Amino acid sequence: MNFAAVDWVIVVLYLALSLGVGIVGKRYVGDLTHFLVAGRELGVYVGIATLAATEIGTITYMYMAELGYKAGFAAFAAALISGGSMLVIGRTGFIVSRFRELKLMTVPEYFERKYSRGLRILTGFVVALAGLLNMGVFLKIEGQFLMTVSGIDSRYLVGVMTCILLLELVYTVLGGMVSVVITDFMQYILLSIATILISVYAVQSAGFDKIVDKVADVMGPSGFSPIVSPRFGWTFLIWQVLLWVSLSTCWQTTAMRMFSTNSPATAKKVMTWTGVIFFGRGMLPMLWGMCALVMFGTGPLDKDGIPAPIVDGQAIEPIAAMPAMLAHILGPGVRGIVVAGMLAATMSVNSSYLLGWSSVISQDIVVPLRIAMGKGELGSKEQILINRISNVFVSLFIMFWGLYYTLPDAVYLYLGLTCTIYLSGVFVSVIGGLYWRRANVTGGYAAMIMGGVGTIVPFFGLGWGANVTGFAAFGLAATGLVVGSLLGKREAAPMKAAAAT
Amino acid sequence: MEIWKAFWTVALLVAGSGFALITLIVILKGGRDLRAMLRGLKAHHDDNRTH
Repeated sequence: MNFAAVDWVIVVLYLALSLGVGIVGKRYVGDLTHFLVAGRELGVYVGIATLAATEIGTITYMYMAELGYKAGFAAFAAALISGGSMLVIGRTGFIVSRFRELKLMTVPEYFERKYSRGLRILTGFVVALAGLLNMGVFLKIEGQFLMTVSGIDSRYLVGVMTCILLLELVYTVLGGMVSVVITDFMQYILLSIATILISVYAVQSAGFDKIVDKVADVMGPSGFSPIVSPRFGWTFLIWQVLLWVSLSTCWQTTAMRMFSTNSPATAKKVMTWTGVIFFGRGMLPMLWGMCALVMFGTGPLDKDGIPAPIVDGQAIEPIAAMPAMLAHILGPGVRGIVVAGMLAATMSVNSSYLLGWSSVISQDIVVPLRIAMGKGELGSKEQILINRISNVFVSLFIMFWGLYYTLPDAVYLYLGLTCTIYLSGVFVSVIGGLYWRRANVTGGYAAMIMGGVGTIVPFFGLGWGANVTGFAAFGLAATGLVVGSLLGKREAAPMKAAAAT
Repeated sequence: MEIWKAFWTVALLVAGSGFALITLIVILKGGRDLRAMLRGLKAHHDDNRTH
């Protein structure tokens, strides 16, 4: 066990505070808009905090560090693309401004406004499936971090992670987006402090010059140039641009923050400033991965020529190298703050994702299916109840999927692909809906189906690489939208009016 | 390779400073935003109750 008494005190205090603060949010939940989009009351600064906290989790830091360990400075290109995309979207208002004007609560809701209820339901299924697959691996990876840094015996890990998940579930179910935003604010501060502390300690321990030399020795020019790196190249870079532009605009959890802002202008500012944070969100943990390469990269080479990390005489997986490094370099007190910060990161992501996917299940599958079957519309209270039940379902899924599924490759690539299943079709359909008058229902269906199938079949069926699959999926979805729209009915359905709430 | 090294070093410094600076700004100004959000929600809540 690496934890001293002071570390336990810090972590337990943080967890208790999170739960207390989260439960307070329930008092402010009146109707469905409060529960799902915090009554559209988010200002710029709390908007930045919740958007950043939602997309910075322990899993983020784990897979970024793994990428840094395996690809060196060349991996920074992914961070540059993520932050750069958000900056451009924030400055121009591309999609986000219009989405906020429409007073949406979920991304598939747009599909009913522009296309049809049937397409909304199909999109809801695709979004929920991709979202659950994506989130399904979080618990395992986060648990690995906690176990390595704190030294908790692996026998207790499932129990510990289940307790943390239940804690998040309690305040998310009770207070919805209001509780999530309040806890996100607190969690953002803590995870940022932890990020800065880790960066200082890691670079001090490894030495920046040694990091540069090690990357050059192990990887040569591939460790610095994303274009010559065999892991990346132009197909990767183009896929990343498509992925990050679509993620920043159409990923349900990100979009929900835009929907929750108090105006389209605020939405743009939140996106812009969070883009600046995203540069650090990527580069800093990648740097930690490179520090771990300096400290532990002495083992046998893998197929890409990267040495396995050797920690205390044992070879471990590259994804475990960064937490192993933290266990070695952090002293008592600091370790507690860092673990509390990483728990904060974990809980902010998990609570936001629980709410995001459960809102799609309730609002875009259950409720519209009921209406399509001829049953009456539901009031706010009933819809909140369905959302709460969906939250529980999502939690159960991720508990079990996380225990049994084994990742085939780098975590970053798995996560990117599960996003692409949904984003390729949704992003293309949204752009078509907002900016091309000829886009119609037939095109929308074709885009969704070809984007989803275009991801699953090449990667899982044909064994294509992730880069090419991702790139191809967007292309297929776009082809589906254009060809489908041109072959389908000429008149596009009129945009349905914004909902009364 | 030397150009890439220099580029990434500068990018890292900018990224790290930006991260730290925005965190500081959010800590200083975010509390006010949070209070405004809760006031707004409470006002909606009270309105819904009276109507």
